[in-house]
Amino acid sequence: MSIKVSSPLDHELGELVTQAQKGDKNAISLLVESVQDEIYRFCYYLARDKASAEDLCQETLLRAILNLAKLKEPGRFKAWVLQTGKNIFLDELKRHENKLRSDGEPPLDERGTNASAQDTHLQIREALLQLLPEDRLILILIDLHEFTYKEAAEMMKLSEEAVTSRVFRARKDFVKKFEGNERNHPARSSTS
Amino acid sequence: MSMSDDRIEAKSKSIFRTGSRGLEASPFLSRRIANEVASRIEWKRKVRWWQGWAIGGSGLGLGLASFCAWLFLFSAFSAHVGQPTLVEVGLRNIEVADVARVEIELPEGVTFVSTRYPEIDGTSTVSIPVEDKAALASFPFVVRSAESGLKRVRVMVFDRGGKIVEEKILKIRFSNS
Repeated sequence: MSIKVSSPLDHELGELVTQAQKGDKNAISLLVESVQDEIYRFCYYLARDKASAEDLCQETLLRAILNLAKLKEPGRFKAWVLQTGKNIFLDELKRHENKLRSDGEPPLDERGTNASAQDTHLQIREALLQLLPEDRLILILIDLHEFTYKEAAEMMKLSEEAVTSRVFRARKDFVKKFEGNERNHPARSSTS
Repeated sequence: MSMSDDRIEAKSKSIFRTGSRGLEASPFLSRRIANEVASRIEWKRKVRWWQGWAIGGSGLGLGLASFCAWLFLFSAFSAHVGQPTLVEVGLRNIEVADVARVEIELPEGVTFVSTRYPEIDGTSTVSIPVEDKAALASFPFVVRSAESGLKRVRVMVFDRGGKIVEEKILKIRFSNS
């Protein structure tokens, strides 16, 4: 699999990976810190709720680090972690469909928060959770993480044509549902 | 690609850009991961070492040829519920000459874990013949607890007459975190 990673920081990341592969605990911490927010966003928008997202994020990073010896090209660390997260998500989906699918509603403990940023996150997730899980995954990889169609196809083990067609459909549904959610539940400004 | 598709793509990416703001992982995540990784690497190293030691043995069930009479006593070492935990038992300086066997009795909720010896996997008592008590050795085994709390593993040494000549308790505190 060849995934192009174009960030100028990838060389530094590659150095950290090499040290982490030798078991350097500091390097492991720094490596996790360098990608944890991006991985968390990936998991947040895949999972049904915040708790599941945190579990998925932790498991993804842990498994990626434990299997670091298998990473042949250290510069592809970010893609490697996302690939790990994708595999865990799809495996969990097969095992526990109810936990990661959506019933169309966000969990009660996250509803009704005052901060507008959290409302936006919830609205995005509400819209995403109404897509098929694989379509959600493809859309997140391409529109959030900016993988190319070819790269996403390699990760999903689909043809580029299939990914292109699915992402167009997913985008349409996602934008329509998001705009519908915005109209029904406009983001509130913080009152606290 | 039609203009509509372009607009939708731009809108979708704009939504995700906005949605990325303020969405961050826990500040403690990296430390948790690094600690967990270190702990698992250390555990795997120990298991590999003891598996290598146990392979050459010939005792019943767990492939050991000797058993000593001194128990490593820790003040309740920690382990996680549901996860296989390596226990190392070392016995030495046993005074009775005719040691015949060692029995390990696990408390309720705790069972042995073994893929190499499936006959003991899931059980809570094992009996191992002792062929050479003089040899210094440690005896490893793997257990798993289904519940949290302080658990006491009982190790008993029997002579040929069936009498207990040495008994030790190993304490393990299983937790969910």
